[in-house]
Amino acid sequence: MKPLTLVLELISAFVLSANAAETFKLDPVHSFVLFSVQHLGIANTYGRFNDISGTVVFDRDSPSKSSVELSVPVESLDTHNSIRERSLKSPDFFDAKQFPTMTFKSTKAEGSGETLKVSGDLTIHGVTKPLTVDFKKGGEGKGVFGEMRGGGETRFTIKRSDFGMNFEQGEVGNEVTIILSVEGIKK
Amino acid sequence: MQLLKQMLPPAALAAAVAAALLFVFACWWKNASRCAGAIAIGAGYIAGHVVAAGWSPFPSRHATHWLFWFAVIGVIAAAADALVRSKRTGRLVIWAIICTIACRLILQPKFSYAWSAAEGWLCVFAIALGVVVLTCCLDLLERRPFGTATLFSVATVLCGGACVALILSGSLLLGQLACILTAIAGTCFLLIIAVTAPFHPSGAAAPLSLVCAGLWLSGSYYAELPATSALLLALAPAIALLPVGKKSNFQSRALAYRTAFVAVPVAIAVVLALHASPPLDY
Repeated sequence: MKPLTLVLELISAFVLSANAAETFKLDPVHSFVLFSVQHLGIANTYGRFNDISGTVVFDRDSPSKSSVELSVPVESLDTHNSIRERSLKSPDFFDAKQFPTMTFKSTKAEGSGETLKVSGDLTIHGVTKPLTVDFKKGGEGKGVFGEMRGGGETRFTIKRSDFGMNFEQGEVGNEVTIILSVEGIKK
Repeated sequence: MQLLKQMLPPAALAAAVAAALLFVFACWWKNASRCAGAIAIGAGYIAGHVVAAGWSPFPSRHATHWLFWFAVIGVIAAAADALVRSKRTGRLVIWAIICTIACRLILQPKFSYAWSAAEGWLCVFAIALGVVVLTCCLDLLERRPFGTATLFSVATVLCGGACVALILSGSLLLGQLACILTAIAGTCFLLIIAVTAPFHPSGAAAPLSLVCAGLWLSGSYYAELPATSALLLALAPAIALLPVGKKSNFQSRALAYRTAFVAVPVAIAVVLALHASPPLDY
């Protein structure tokens, strides 16, 4: 192989890889799913899911080719009160043993710059509904082991009744605000 | 107070529907008395279930929603049994098939996430056999002298205990559904005593055992009802069959004894559920 051909091939390989979509695997230690819901119409009760997994494919040149897949085990629910957690995981609400995971799978992404409009299917309690969220890109940088990291955050509101969770309407608010903050490690 | 406000409306409606139907059967429609108890329990439960948990689609995706259809199936089975009067073996086989299908439906998620097919079917057959035995026990209890009143008295204690145990196990909804059954059984008991209704048997065993079994299975597999509590609740009606004396003038005393017998395992089941529940952090 001639040296010039080799150099050209190396350059083209570098350019191609720079333009290719980047895949980030979510880091559960630095990713959060937080939620708030009204209690008796008095104040908000907050909770979180301590476990999350999934991947984000981000194409900075062509954002419409970006995609997101997330999975959250309901068993990881944490509200700082074991009685409330038992109730939330029981057939009254999430029915964790029948529907052990909540998932989101994107179908479309659009936008540019710092905010992506991501549409997809959200499945909770065995019910799948379309959802569109504004995902604000965070920063990018190297982690302590030299790994490349990227992240972002979105905040949205859903109605639990849309997902077949109708128990204790009134005592527990119907609208649930969710904050999803994710950090991923580039594969 | 909030709990009572939540539990009372469906329980009251269910009791009113059951009482109205039983009264109609007792006064004007005596031909249907062989399935009067089944229709009263089934219709009452269906009304209460709709108020507490909403309408249940068919086929249901949620185990809890199947309880609604179990009540319907129990009523149909009891009515068919009263009309056809087939041989005991044939009735048992058909009921065993119904119970197996019901158990398979309510335990569907376990097949998806926890059990292999062989392990799952083994559990389903064992549980279905248990439900058949439960139905037989309730049916035998009803065929004793003063049996229908005894059955409803025993059912009141059984479902009342299940209600408390299920609430302690983290599911207010399942507790509420058990409360509906308690209200129905209690009201039917009082009505039978008051009008001295001639139901003997009333067919109540079929829907009662199927809905109760569905509740205990849901509590045990999808909430945190201890397996021992569920087992004790299931065994309690068998204890009511213990001999309590034969003299006919002791019938009301026999009813009291049988109810007291059942209260013992039910109370233990509640205590176990209480013991397994986390402390109230208030």
